[in-house]
Amino acid sequence: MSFGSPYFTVPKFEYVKPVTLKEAIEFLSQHAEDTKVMAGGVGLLAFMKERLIDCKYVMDIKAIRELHELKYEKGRGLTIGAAVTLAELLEQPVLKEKYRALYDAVKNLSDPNLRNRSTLLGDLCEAIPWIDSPAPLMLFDAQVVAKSARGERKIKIHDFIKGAAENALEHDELAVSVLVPDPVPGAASRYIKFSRGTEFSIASVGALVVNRDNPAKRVVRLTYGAINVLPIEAFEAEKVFRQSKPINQLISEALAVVGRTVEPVTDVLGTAEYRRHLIQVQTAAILKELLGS
Amino acid sequence: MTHRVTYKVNGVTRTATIEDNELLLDVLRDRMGVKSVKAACWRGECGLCTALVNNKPVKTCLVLGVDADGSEIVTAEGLGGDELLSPLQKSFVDHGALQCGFCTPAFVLTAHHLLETNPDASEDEIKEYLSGVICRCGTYFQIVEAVKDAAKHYKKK
Repeated sequence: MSFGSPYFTVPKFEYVKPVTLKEAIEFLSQHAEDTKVMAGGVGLLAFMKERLIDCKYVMDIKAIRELHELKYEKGRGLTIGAAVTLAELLEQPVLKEKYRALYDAVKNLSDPNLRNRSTLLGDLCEAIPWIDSPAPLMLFDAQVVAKSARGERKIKIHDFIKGAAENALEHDELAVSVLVPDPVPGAASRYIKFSRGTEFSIASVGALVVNRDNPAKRVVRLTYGAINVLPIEAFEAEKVFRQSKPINQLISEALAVVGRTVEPVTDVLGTAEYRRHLIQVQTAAILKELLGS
Repeated sequence: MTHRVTYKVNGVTRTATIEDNELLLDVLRDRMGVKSVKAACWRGECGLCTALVNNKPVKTCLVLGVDADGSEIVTAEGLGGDELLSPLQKSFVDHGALQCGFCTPAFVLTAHHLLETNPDASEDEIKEYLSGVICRCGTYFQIVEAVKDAAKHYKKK
């Protein structure tokens, strides 16, 4: 039933469902250019309906047991397999306890029904500018684990998004998991996004604070999503907090540096000027919450 | 390529021969005649194609029919079991929680899953949990009232 519109149908392809990782990697090494990997399929099927993606094979990775790994190990951190749904991730108490910024992002990502299908790695691999996962993952220096017939490599989250809908994976590589290292003890983090209802983010900010009261050891990290093609970490603004000055003064200084160095763009969702305003408001709010002034 | 898929739909085993690119939504509606699963936006935004797949509410316009092979599926037709309507469905009727009724199956199924897992859900939790389904008639107030009222039937279990 298509009512005559292509947007209601999915173009033809061949469905492949490997049950082992080895099988999946072998298939990719042979058909890399013609294959799209599907986890939840929420993004992929929507893009295929819009004829933005056409491929010969769709490889469903949900039958691969290893990719459902969801495990926290002290010292090593949180491993989130490529087939773990956002709903399963939210059920992990450790997410809110230790990775609050990531929890904030996942809790407000799309809606509960979609979260029963969609995955964190799927969101990340889509690499479209308004996705929510990069900014919180950058705070924890997460890594994407990619496997291919040539071996395994870890890609730093800061290097993973390469452009609009472009990620750092080679065609024959399969992203198998995200590794989110254990945060430093005492680290507190948050993520705020601005969007209309459950729609795409227009601007988002993540922040992480360690040793709030000790300027010599204080670490403040600030990351931004959805304001430019690539996610941004505000390294210049982070340096401000190494000074021993009253917190309120540091926040004002940091906001000025963010205004100067963090560059938003104009697109269909909002203008650069609007986004510049939004990130000032969001940054002030998130820093006041975490630094408690 | 064609696939022979088997689902258990509302307790009854159903099979169909489908193409790779057929959506679960289309298989349910057009091949199995399950018409309470509504087709509207086709891109995961409105939520009207929601069905309980392996006891979780999912938007069937973004699921491949072949991917759902072997699944247990519950739709509004099957929610009441032997009764015509489940207590939650009756509550929707009692509260007038519908105008045109097009979104009602999706709201009922999503709310059913919420109350099964969290019968003490607060008003905010109910609103948040139902945020993936859209009612263009705007009967949200009555829907939340109906869900709150039906919660007692889930606590007894």
